[in-house]
Amino acid sequence: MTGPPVESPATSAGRQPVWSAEGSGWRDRRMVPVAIVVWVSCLSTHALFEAVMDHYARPGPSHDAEVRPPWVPIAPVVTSATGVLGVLGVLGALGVVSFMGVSSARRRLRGAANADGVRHPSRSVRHPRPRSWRPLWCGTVMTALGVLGTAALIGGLATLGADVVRWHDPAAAAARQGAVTVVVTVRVRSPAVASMRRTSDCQAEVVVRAMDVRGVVRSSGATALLFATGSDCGVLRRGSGIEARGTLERARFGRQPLWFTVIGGGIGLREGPTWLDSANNRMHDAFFAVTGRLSDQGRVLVPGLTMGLLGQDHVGDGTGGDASRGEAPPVDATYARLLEERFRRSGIMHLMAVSGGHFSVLGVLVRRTGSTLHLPRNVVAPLQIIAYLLLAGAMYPSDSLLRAVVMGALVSWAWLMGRPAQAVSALSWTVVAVLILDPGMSRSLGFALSCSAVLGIALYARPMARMLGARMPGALAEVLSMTVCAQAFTLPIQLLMEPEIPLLSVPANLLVAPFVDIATLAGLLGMVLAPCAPALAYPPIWVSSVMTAVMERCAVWLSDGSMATMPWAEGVRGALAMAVIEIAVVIVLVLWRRRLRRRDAAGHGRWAPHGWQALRRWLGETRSMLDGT
Amino acid sequence: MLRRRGAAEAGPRTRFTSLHAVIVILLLACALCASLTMLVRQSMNYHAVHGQGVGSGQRATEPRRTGEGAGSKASADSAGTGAHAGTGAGADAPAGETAQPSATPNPDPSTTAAPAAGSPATAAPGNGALDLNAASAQDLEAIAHIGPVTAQRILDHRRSIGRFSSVDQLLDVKGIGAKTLEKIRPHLRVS
Repeated sequence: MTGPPVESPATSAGRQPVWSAEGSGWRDRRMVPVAIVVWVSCLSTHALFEAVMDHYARPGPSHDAEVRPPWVPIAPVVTSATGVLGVLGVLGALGVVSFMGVSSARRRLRGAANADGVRHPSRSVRHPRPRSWRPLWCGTVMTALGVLGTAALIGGLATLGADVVRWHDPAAAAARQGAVTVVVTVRVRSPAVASMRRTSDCQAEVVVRAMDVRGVVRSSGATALLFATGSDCGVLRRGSGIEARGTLERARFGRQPLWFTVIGGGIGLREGPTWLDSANNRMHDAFFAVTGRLSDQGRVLVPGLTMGLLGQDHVGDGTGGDASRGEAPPVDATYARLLEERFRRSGIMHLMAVSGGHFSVLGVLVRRTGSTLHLPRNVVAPLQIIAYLLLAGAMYPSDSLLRAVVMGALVSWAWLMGRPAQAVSALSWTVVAVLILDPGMSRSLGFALSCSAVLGIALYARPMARMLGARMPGALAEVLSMTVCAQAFTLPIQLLMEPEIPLLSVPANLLVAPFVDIATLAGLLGMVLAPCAPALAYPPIWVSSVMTAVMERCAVWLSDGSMATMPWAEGVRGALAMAVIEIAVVIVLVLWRRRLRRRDAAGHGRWAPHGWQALRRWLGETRSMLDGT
Repeated sequence: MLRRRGAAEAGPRTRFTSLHAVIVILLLACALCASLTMLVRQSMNYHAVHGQGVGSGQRATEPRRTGEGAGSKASADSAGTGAHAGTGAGADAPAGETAQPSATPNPDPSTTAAPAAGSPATAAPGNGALDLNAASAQDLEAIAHIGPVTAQRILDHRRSIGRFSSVDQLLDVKGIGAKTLEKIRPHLRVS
């Protein structure tokens, strides 16, 4: 009780700033534990399921779905559905219990308050404390337990259902028996990109619709990574339905569970993409045609920054680098790989993934346009959501993009409803909704990175910027605090991907920060213009490439030398160790600050500006003096 | 304690009121229901095709089906990859290859005896029967008991499942029940 909350008298006296920036508007953290519990529950249920199924499937292929009676595929779903019903009953009971507990406690307290006026102390005198606090305490804990328990159960059940269905999917069942040659009908879900395997040229994410194994056609819903070679890549356009013959097998690495390798030439288009998809594909092709005129770094980085797809990964319509049409040859692969590595080493690789930045820029743009045209909120907010969806469709699909679009839509919806934007709450709901509807996302590192970065920024960037603002210019403090918060929260996850700490990531991010927004905006403008007016699209894209040139210089400069990164323990152990170290550092800093503050308080108002504060004060005084003369 | 909540608003909000807790629980349950509904639908889909896929009628029609499929694919192939100068031999090769996987596991006798040994679904249609996998909306509308709406639904269903492997799959189309199916069955076939 030594450090009384400074803001509380002001906020409670003013009454209206409940939703102001300093009020609870951005500090609604109730859903954070719920989101964490759902995530943990999804992960652990999946791990358990995998362990059980591995054990179950070990005896051999005889356990496969092929030989099971036909009721088996449906049975687990039915069981899980009945489980849900049972669980919902329990949850309902829990909810009612907590509701009863709290409401009865509240009623009692309210009755007491009405009986003896407003003053709190008098109430506690008349009613002995134990009688009033126990039910309230019980109610709070019961409510929290009820919600968290529900979250855990629902996350677990959703994962179980998804895993069971995935397990019984004919494509997955066939692949479990080893590589099989099948004819599949698939829908292409992502643009074709350069393959990560040496044996093929391109890859694309697909959803298997039907599969023909030895003359038996079965429908499927499995997602797979399709690999193709040579001119087959030209058929892989986003949104098209294709029929292909090839080998289906379990993925050896990566998040997609299945790999389908097309046998050369065994691919055919069955259904063209929808008009929206083909417009999108045309836009991408035009955009890459324009970026092809840039320098090498621009060709790699501008598409990466604009749409989350590095230049060297673009495959296009299979005629890439066609000299007869005046197109540039493909980017030098070694240079591109080296550049990517440099970005990673200097800790600014996140710029190459589309995330919140694009959406906030677009959101502000739509909102400003709306307010200029005096459009009402209930027109602008839906427009904003539509703009987000269009933007998401135009980008290279990724898990961080999903996070950004869902969260952006939630915030816009909240705005439409007249609620304040609560980043932490919106993020938590995004996580909960995405994980329950697609439990596989809990294992996506991209999604985890995006969420934890946003959580760090939403929770601590503002207080930290305020704290640092006393010691450095405001803009610098803002960028620095955002970078540090995001880095601190994402570092353990980054270590899971690559056991190296990018030591210079904070200075690198500070250096590139001023250029990112301009490069993104210019790139997006160029992308929109590219299909209709390539000549007009070139100037903004060129501007974007100038900005990326600065980033490239920073990356080259900072990643040189052995000091750029520090090796770290691998795997979960390393990540946990880093998390523990970070928490320890934060605790030490907080204790240190508290001690300093106590010393200041003991010093009875002996306050002297120091460092930046003194300089700023001096500057201000000088300016006012000069203005006066 | 309760009275101090007003003052405590300045700090982060971490405590659920019971009403909010109930709302959150209900929303979570709704999300779970949505998720499970999608999963059950997907699972039903496997089940349906699984049941028909192993049926004798389907197997009997299989060789013809994939033969044509491969043929059409080869044409699509040569159209799609015409730019890379696929020679005649190059364009033919995939067709031969694609026909293989379905032809090999089925013993030859069944291939030749297919129309005769088929289930009612394949035995009934005469020569004038319409191929469900190739029919257009107009073709379907020409059949009695099929209107423009049903024809469109059949086409939509065909698009969603890829292709029909049996006439019985029409039962999955909204608006076609067992009685209607028996009436229209003689006019339809699946190749």
